[in-house]
Amino acid sequence: MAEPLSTNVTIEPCLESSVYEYSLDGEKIKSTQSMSDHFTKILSRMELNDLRSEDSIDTPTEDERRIVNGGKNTFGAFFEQMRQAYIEVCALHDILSLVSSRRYFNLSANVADMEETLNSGNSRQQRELLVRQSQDMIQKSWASKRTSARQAADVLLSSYQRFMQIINTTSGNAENFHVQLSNLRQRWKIRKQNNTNRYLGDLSFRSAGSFYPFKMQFEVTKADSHKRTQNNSIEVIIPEELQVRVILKIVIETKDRQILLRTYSTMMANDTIINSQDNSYDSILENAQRTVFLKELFSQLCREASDITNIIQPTVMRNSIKCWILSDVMMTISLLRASEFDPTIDGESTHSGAHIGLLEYSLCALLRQQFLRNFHYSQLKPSTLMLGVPALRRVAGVSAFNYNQLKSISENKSILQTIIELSQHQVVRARILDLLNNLSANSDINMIVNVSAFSSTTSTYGRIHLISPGYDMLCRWSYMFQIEECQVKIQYKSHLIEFQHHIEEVQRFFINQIAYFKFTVACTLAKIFGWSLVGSSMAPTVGRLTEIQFSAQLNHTQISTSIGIRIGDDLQLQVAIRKRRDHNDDTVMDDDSTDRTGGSRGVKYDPIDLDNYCGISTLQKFEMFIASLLHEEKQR
Amino acid sequence: MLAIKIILIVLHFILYSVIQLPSGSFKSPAEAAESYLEKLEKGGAKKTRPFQVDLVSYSPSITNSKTVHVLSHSEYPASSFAFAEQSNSQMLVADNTFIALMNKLKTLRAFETRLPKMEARGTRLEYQDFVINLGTVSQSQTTKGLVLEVAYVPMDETRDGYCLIQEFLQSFLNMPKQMIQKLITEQLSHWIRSLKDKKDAEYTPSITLLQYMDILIHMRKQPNE
Repeated sequence: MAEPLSTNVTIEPCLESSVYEYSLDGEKIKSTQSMSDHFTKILSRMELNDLRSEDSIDTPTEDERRIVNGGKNTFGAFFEQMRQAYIEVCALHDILSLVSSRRYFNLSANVADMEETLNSGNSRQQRELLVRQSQDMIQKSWASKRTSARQAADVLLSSYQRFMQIINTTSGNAENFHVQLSNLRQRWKIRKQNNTNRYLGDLSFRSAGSFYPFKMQFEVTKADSHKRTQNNSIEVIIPEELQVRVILKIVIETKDRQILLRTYSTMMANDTIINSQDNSYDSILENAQRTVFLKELFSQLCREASDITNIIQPTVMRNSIKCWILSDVMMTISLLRASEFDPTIDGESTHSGAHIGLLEYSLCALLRQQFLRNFHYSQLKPSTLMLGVPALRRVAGVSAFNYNQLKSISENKSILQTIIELSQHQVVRARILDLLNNLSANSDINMIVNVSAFSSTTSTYGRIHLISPGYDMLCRWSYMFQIEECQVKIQYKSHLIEFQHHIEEVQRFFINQIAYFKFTVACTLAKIFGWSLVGSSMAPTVGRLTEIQFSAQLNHTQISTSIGIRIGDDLQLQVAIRKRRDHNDDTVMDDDSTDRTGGSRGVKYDPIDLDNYCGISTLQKFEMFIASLLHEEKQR
Repeated sequence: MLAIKIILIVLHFILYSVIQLPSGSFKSPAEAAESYLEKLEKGGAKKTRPFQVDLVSYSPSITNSKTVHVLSHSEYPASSFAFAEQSNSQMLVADNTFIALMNKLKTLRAFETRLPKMEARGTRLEYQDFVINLGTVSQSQTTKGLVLEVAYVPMDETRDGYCLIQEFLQSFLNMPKQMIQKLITEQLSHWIRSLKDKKDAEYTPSITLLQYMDILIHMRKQPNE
């Protein structure tokens, strides 16, 4: 199929003897013709195109191909014209060389020489005659050469105008198949098949290292004349399985159907739904490639799901992978067709704008890592080692890697595993931080949580400080915490405890610690006022986390009243007083817990309502209370 | 007189010694190994996996070449270590296919294996940062002795590592310090001595294997009981 509009560009590489011809679609042909043959060929085309453009003004609907055949007759005349022009160009060249190499001036110098010789002969008339003759000669040759140069210039100018005409008509024509094809080639890899004249492109990620076995070829053809629109003379044929639009959906929800995260591959975010009617070849191809990407990713995830032999075995069901990432949290990754996707159900609330592109980018990066592993690097290889093993493994022998190092080479986290770990961490982290937030909001002490900037994607470090507002110097406790995939480590007072899977235990622990802290601060404050700790039920162990009960009895040497303080689950400081007898007969040590359960043994305390005392915090009220006790005693 | 040899090695940073224990205490090397294992396990060391060191010596068929000793260690499964005699303590670290290469040369009659193969088999134990390899050395089913390797993995300072290993041996196996000093192979004592001059000498796995080679060759020369 000859394309009359495309002009092949011929290039003669400087170090090679042969000539290469490049057509508009980038195809390289090794030409057997010489440069001059090409020139005549191109000239013939110029003539034809020129004719065509003139014809098309008269009969715009006429088919181009007829002109191709008819144009050959006019070639002979044009060739004759060109030959004449060639002669004239040669003449012009002569003049130019004459001027540039200064032969003209040499000639005049010769005239001067002649003058000298004539002077010596003392024949003035002869000399004048000769000078005039030579001047005539020069003028005549000048005039003739000038005319021939003008003729040559005319020929050149006319062919230049024809050239410009052709260039203007082709570049302004957006309907041109080849122009659009070359535009398309800037974004997609399209190759012309050798014998069949078909243009084929590849959508797969094979060049990036993908081993996905399905063929992802598309074909570019010229659009039929009736389909052709203003800016679309090209048609893209993609395989049927790629014509569907697919969406990857990731949902993390709890057992109680509370949705923690719902996100979609970003192609859904803005434009695709709106542009779903857009049939421009670019958007078609882009969508096809997204489909390829998502399908490949999903198949990779499915393969990995079967490889994970953990407690959390993901299950693959039709088009979704389900996995319990925590004991009560499930993650679902599903591949939906665009028709199955209902944007009305999934409100805007689950989709925040900051995440657009993030999911796709992360998935792309993960898949890319997988591709990289498929490559073999050929450097650094002992000659005794076989091919096809990772680069690090190849040098393992020579650099004497030990058992553990060797093991770490072969350990590769799969994409799914990475996703699971990441989501586990995110869920646990969000829960812990939420829990700390709640605790600090509901207790009347200052709880400062600092999250370290050195946290990685799967572990978060931080510090918690417990301070009683206004009594900063009295007591200050700090904890280090580390949140990992599904465990939380807390370090306090040289203890290290680990919590696996159960966030509730962490909550119990912190409630316990806060209660203990409040109790300690109250006791310390009382000690400052001269009270002594007679007895207490302190020192809770981690094993007894469920029982939160701290109580103590405080005595003062000058006051005949004992104070009992207690802190329970509700984290409220309860205070009670009792008149102490002069004889030390209450041998049974007693606190409110025994008082509450039994009541038979022990002594009754009278509860004190701390709200009767002024102060901004419970601790301050307590301070006021013990101060007032002392004050009353003093007054008495 | 039963010779029980003990090697102590610090991986990364050293120690290795050969010990001639008085024969009165144990009847056979197997019994001695058991008692040591018991001592170590009572101390809190945990068994992890089997341990093995092999020594194959290739003698040259041509008179001018040198004997090549090829060692392999289970701690370095990908590597094999080769040592040509009189090569100034230089060890060749190669991939584990090196043995196949040597065998190929054997079929080409460049080398022959006249000397018997030496094997040390046993258990690898771990105690915190210490790695202990305890094994019995056998030469074609004849038990020759006992070998002990101790490594202190995280240490960055060789001399301190040596001291830590001494400490470990004293507390775990009740070996007096003088005995350990006596038991260290020449290679190791040479290495420790050379440390005084050099400021930064990195401990490499080949030093461990050199110590093994010394002990195994020494044991091979000993007459069977």
